[in-house]
Amino acid sequence: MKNLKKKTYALMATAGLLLVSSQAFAGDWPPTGDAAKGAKAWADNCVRCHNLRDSKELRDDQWVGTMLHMRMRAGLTGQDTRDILSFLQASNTRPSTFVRPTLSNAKEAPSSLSGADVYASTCIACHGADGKGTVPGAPDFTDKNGRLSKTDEHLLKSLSNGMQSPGSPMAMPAKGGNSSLNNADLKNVLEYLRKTF
Amino acid sequence: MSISKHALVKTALSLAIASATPSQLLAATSDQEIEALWQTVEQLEQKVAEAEEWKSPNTLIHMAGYADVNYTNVDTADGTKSSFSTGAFAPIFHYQYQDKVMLETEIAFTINEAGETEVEIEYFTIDYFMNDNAAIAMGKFLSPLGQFRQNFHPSWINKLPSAPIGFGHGGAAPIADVGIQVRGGFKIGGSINANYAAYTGNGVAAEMNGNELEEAHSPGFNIDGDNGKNYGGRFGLFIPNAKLDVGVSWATGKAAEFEEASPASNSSFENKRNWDFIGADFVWHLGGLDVRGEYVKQSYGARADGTSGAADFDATYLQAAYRFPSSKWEAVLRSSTYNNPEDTLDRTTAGVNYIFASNIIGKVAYETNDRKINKSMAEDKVLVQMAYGF
Repeated sequence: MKNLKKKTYALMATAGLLLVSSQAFAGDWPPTGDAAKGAKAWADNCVRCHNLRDSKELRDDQWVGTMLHMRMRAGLTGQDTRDILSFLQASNTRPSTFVRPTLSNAKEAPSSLSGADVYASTCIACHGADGKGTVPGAPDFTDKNGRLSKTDEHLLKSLSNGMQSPGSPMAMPAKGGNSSLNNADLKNVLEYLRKTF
Repeated sequence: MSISKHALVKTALSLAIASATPSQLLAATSDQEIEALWQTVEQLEQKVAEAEEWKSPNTLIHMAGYADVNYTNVDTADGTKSSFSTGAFAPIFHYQYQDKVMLETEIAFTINEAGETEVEIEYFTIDYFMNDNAAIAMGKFLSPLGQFRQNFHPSWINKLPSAPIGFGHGGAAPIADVGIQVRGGFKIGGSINANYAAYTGNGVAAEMNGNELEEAHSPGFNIDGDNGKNYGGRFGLFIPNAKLDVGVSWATGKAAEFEEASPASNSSFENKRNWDFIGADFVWHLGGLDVRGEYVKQSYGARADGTSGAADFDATYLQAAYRFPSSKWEAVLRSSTYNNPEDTLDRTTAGVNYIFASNIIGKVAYETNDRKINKSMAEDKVLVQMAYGF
């Protein structure tokens, strides 16, 4: 009987601790994360067990369930989970077909980011600091006859709309999954790629 | 409305209205036209809000899982046999309330050799996400000891059609347990991710044939046959810059015995033994190269009355896979060894995979199975598998 009482008290104390802990660190809903950090966390963590899943394989709501499941399986932190989810949800959207009307006095929105900033925040997770690619299918930018041998027009279109490399199981999402980038940002990062690699 | 306000509204509308045509925008100069465009904006806002309803409702229902179909050609001392077979169809159901609570269960449907369908709950837990670093799972869960059984065994993840010897059912690697576990992750500095799992559960049991301990059993017993909870866990470190994941596992407790001839149930459990587990695992990536390995060991103590001795079960595997650049082809080589009280088994498997998509993989492999004592039971196999993760 004494043993049963001890066990009951231990269980109640544990439950109390859990309750206090969960109130102090409750997550937000709907989940919000940093898509740029999520791109790196996605490239780093998912290949620990399996092939990288293309973000376009699932809808936004399906990724929510999948990522909570993966948090349990892979021992991800809640923040990493939200970041990866934000990246996947941002990068599975098909590019818009809307063409902005050209007005006589219209000016392209200026870029507030350097090409190096864009590369470091959005591209580096998959393409690597050395430009040789960190995930299967990512092209080697240092290859003289490789991806960067294409024209600026072709590459800007790929950056803007996303693209599927031959032999790669996953597509590069539009704007690398970072929908906040504008055309000027993309031009800057292309210039950075040409100068650096 | 003043002229400056007109200009402001026109600018805002030109940025926001996706459905308007350039000619509409350029012509939108009167109050009536601007009002019409505002109505369009409101309609679009409503449509966007409706479209986003399914993104994050409080309750989400989701299904994942995996399945595989196989062809096997076995070459033994008695001749050659070949068969087509289905592997597991294993849907995983998730019901979640926000990101606080998730019910998850994997149900494996298989067809046995007699053509009968068998159903098994691989795991079934209700998880409570306490905070960003910890979640509690209660119910039947995949054993958190080691990596292969809890994370690599699904056929779309396992890079070969078979499991390493000793890492299947009745081997050295524990399969599942029924109990409670806490698991999660946290950062160490800015460059290392730690992950952990600690559990207590009903534990394992020893399948006996008289006084001989035949097999280690850990299917996830729904009753504690020895009335003594097992406990342990795994601690892992993942270093993203080095693409290196390492982990160690440990557990201890008691193991009851049950007779090979009778199914394990509360009335058939007897004789309590000590039980201990140790394990270590790693995964390392370098470009298209994926190297992983694991060591597991279960130790069953002797019976208290001395009528049956202690027994160890240990298994090791080392696997290297190489994905050819800019292609869908992958080569895999794995060597595994399983030591049990009766014999030492060696399995070497070499395979080629074609990756149709990241979750759809065609595999062809050649496998040798050798034994040190029962040498006549050696067999070679050609294995073909189509695996689909969903």
